Amino acid sequence: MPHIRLRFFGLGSRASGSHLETRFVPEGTTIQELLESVRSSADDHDFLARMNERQVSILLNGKLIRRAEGLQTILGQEDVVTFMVLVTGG
Amino acid sequence: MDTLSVDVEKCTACRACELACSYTHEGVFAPHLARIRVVRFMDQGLNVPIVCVNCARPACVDVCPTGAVHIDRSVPVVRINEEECIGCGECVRACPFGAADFNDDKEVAFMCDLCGGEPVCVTHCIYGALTFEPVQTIAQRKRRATAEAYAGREITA
Amino acid sequence: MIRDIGSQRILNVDLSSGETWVEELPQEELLRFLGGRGVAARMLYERVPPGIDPLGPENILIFSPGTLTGTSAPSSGRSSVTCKGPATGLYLKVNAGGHLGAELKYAGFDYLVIRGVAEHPVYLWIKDGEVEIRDARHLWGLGTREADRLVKEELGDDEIQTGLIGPAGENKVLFSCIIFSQFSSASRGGVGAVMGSKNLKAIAARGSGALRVAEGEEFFDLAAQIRQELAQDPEMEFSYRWGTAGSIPGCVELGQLPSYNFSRVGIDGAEKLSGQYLEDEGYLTGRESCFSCSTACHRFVRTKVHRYGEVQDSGPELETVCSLGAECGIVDTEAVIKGNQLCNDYGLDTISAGHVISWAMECYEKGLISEKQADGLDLHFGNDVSMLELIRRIASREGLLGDLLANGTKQAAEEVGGDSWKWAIQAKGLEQSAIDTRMAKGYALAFAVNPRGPDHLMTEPIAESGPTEEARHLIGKITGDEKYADATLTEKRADIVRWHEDCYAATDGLGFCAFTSTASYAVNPDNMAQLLGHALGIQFSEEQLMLAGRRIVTLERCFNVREGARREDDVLPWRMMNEPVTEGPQKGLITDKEELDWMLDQYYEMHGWDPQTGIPTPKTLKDLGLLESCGDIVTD
Repeated sequence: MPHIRLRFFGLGSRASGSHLETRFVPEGTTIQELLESVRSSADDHDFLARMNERQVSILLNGKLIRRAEGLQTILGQEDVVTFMVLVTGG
Repeated sequence: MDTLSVDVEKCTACRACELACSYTHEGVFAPHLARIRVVRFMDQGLNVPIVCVNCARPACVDVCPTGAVHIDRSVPVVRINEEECIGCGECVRACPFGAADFNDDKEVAFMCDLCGGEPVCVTHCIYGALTFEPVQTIAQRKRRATAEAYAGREITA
Repeated sequence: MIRDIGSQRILNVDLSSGETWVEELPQEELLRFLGGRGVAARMLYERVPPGIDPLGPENILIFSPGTLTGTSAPSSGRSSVTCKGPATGLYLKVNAGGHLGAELKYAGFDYLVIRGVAEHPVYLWIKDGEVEIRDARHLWGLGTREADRLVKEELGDDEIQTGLIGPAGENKVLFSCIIFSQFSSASRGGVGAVMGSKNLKAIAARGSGALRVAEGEEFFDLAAQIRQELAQDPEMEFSYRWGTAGSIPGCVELGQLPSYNFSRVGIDGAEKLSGQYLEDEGYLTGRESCFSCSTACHRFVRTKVHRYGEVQDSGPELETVCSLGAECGIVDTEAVIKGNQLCNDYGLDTISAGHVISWAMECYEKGLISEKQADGLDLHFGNDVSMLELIRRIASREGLLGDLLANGTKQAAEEVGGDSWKWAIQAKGLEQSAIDTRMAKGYALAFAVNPRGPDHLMTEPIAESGPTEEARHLIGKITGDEKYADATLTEKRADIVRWHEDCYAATDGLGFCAFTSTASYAVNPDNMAQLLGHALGIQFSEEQLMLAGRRIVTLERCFNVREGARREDDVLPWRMMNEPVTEGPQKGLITDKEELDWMLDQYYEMHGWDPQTGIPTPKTLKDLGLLESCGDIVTD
């Protein structure tokens, strides 16, 4: 069972700092499945849970995932997955 | 009695309410003709929308010499009949909140009529700083908030 | 007084003679240049001959709200301020939100065109169709907050909207700004210095007029619908919650947080600079909106331990926490809040202020500025007390260092000499904003060709890395394939930049905030054209809108050509083109001369500009209907 690390931005009542979670996922879990699992277990106040799924930016090991193929990527040992919204400027 | 109420903490002075109001009532975009106006205290980061609170015994109705300002019982809400208004400005002077104002071009006073029961300012306020609800609901919410403070719980109101 | 949106009026003020006069703008000009930034660019081209001194009487300062500013179109309250820029000697358009633009329109004017120099400090009082030039000698020297308060007091009206310079603009600091309604600012390129050189302290406006659109119901309903769509957009909700500095964790994660004068891409403790931290730690006490905007990205903050004195004022944006924070090696929230407040009160652009100071710090660490030359200040990276002190000295041009730095890094590097020019992160004379162009090729191209210098508020191709599905879809639409939504590619960058240029120019012309059309897409060329059409009561297509955007961008290029700018000026700062990223997930990346040249070739060809010189060809000018106005450049 691969051991992965998740980083979130915008969860719960404390949004700043690095929000790191680690978990084991079943062999063959895709990023899509991970996203669904995270959203379904998040509570109502979580920004990540409430936002339009299409607006979530996902990084795998620091690189932005392109949706079409990227969501089906199978997670491997020590992968780092980051969920966030990207805005720039100002 | 349904009334407009304001959560001052949530107002950011976007003034979309003023635009929606002036358009709906006068067909133009003009904060000066809006029945709702935001007063700003920029040194405190505080913005306070001033609205007509729909008094049950309104001073504006009491002072009107022609009866142009009257209560429409069907909503209920204060209305002004522009044809009967002589433009004396007494209602503007009488309102304790500054919620009535005067239109120099038409030479009549104006005040909020709650858009007949579905106030457009409320729908245009994205932050929920404006609500339209019975005044008893407001009282109930405040009772709960006060009680929650005593119960040591997170205040949800 | 009711004015129709299509009937635009220009208020001219000559500060030398004291004369004022009003012109009406023909509607066909409005259709060709969309209003706002577009018409202002045209006026600047026609009324400012080449070669004039930007700080002299012949320069013109144009305030132009957008064509839809003052209506219920969501987030349409932005204004442009246009002139020949003192830092670059080139075309300068800056943009600001706040509430001044709408108030000018209710006061009866769509453009404010100021020329000449007043004999002594003055301010303009514009009320309901009338303008008065009033004595400002008692306001000169005051910070922007105090001046705003006094103007409102002496005019007896607390609902006046103001545009003000502080001491920095009065002292002609080449990165001084104009503060709009306290929380917004027309910042870059020294626009405040132009106002200061004219002895103009403030614009004060108050209008009880009304604006009318031709097709009211269609306009109002479409505007309301877009407002709701924006409210549902997570990008906008994110900005409301944490402000633009909410992007800091993302920058840290991607290894793209400019730090230590762009020599690094991250700094320990960066989360203390984030918008999230401001909220979590209780610094955030309010959120403020620009006119008609339901996003409210502006912050209101209060310091907690008051380490540098108590601050209760506008809070820092993303660029500010980068420039005054990470770039200076500082991660102290209160230091950045204080620095931001000082810049706002003195009237300084925070982007340049931070980058000028971080340049000085690098010089100090490398021994090119001695302690003596630093007037006794310790300028090691991380010294927050020195950072704050330098802001004060720059604003008043105090001491050797204050005066040196007040002219920006380009000139300061020329004086200091040695290799200091290599880490002056500037091009054309303007400091680069805190976006690392080594790892984002579209940004690199956009920054290189930006007529005012290397920054993002002219053309920001946020979509190029495909951060959201909407962004990827847009890239697919522009380039033919979503696979080009990759900021490490050079392919198709020219296409992407050009689309964003056109969209940005249209956005500015109508008065929309670029967040709504290029970070969110709820405002887009299609519905912008529809809203304009409903406002004017005509058919107006997306194609016409984008073509007008193209026309504006080309005209701006012509201005610069006329001032002598050529392809060689379309560059990035030396460090950005010669020193690859040293660490993090983007390690090794760079956009060097070869890649930039390749992209520039594509870009010029697509634009129809001469690839050797960057000058628009006669055919290109003819196709855009610009041959008559800009024909003078093709004789060069």
